[in-house]
Amino acid sequence: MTAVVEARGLAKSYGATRALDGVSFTVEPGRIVGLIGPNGAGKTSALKAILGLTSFEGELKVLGLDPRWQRNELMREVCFMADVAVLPRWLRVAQALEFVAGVHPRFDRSVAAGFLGKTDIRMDSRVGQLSKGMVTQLHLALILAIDARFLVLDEPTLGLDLLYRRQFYDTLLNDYFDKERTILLTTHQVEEVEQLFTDVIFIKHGQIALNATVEELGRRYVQLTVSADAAPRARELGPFYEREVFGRVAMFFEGRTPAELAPLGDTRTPSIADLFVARMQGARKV
Amino acid sequence: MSTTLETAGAPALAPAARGFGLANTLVMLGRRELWEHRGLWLAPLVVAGILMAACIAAILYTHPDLHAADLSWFTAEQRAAAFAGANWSLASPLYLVAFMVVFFYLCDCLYAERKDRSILFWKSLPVSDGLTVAAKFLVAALAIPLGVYVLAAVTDLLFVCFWNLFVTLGGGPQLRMWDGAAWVGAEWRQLLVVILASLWYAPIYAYLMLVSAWARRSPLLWATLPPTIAPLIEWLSFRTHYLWDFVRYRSFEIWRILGLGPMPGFAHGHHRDVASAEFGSGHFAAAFSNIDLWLGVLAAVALLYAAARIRRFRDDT
Repeated sequence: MTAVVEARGLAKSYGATRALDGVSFTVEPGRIVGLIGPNGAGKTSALKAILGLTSFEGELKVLGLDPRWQRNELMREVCFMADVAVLPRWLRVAQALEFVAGVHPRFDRSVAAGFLGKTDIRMDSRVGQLSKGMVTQLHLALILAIDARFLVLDEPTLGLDLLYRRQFYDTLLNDYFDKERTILLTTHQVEEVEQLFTDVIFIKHGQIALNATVEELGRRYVQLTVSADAAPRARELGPFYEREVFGRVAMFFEGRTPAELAPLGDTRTPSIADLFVARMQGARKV
Repeated sequence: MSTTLETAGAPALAPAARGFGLANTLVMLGRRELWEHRGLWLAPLVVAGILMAACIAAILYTHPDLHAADLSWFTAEQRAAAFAGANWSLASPLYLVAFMVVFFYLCDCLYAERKDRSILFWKSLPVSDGLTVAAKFLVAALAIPLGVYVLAAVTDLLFVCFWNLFVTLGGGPQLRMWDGAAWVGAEWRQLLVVILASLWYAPIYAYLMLVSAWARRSPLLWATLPPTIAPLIEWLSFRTHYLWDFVRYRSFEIWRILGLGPMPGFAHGHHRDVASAEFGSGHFAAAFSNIDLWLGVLAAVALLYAAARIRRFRDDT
């Protein structure tokens, strides 16, 4: 079956800067993929390539379509919210609903109105009168009311406070996501959403640092926390990254089983946030 | 996996029964433009209101002596011409203001969405860049001119109604002003002029949109400087004026072909031409069959295509 995204040797340069340096990855249907990387790592370039918003080199198919030449077909199946996308200030809330309903065959106005009903947003307000968080809520209400096969969200909760962020991710998981949809999401607040992901792709300097399902992460990586005096012995087993936590040392291992490490200290599956830091800084040390 | 993905589209397509034809989408896109650029319809409405108020005030406060007036020495033809002339005098300020707001609208329409960064929102919807550009062009070249045409007709009718009411109450029934045939004739010619103007100015409209899609800042400046600076440079360097002739030709030639002055209803002494026999079918035939008119339309299509390409492939957000 066609993958939702299939990228091979995807590359993008801005002048001398290589934003994407020949990355290859696949997004399978029915997954929630976190695309995670520091600022300027190439996340946005990858998303823009996928959405047909920028030129690129290499091969890229989204839902079997070429985003460069078949963007119009693609946009019927794909929905996105770019981090820099702003709803225009002159637009009224009711007009926004009417417009999207008028041009998008898969938009369900009652669903959007339902989302908005849970907020303080009034139908006759202009976007310019809403707070930043409210604008994001409105935008998300519009996006989530579109029955798209593939949803791309670039920092969707930027500017929302914790309460709304939690609410949004609950909605995304409970009301929106099902096995027929695929979501690709970038965010800075990895800790908050790591329960959400089925897959993660770490991207760094335009290259993929890690690409795995969450189950694979559990099998591949172990975090071992040991006391300072046990550390040298654990270090012999070759952690790829370590850091000190309250006088103890947390070490991150790849390809070791918890059974192997358990005698030395406490083992657990590392969080995605920890793995991200470990991967990004670990590689920097080497 | 394949079955789930294939069937995923099927139920979702149900709302498509609401009818997402090209025409419906175009109308929605057009309405969107009128939401954003309210001046497009507000300005002509306000001017029509002011005109009406001014006319009524002029009649009421100058108290024309209806009994003393004697129009019997006018021929029927002259009366019809005066009637049609009054029609044009009311309409032309509306067209002038509409032309001005359309000019600013076209310079802004593909620039504002980049400036306020809403373009990525519009582009997240299944509306092609070509359709977006076409809709904006049709608002400027079709919807607004036709809307102002209807507004002008209504304004004229209201004015005629008021005048006739006034002269009837004032005891001058012989001054009642209505000539159905002349009115329909004048309105028909006015409609042809409106269509002709949109066709003739289409490449200028499209050029403004191209600038609007392309300019990184101040599209208004980019739109107006080249056609003024380039002829100046040409004249300073070669003492020739081909560019200036071209700009002038594209700006006014169609009105000369039609047998009008540089601008309909504005050039001194040409008011009567509008209504007179000169403004007959022969001139319209010449104007509509002018090769440069249709070459201009072709150029407009090419410029619009370029504007849509820029909107599609531009990447600076």
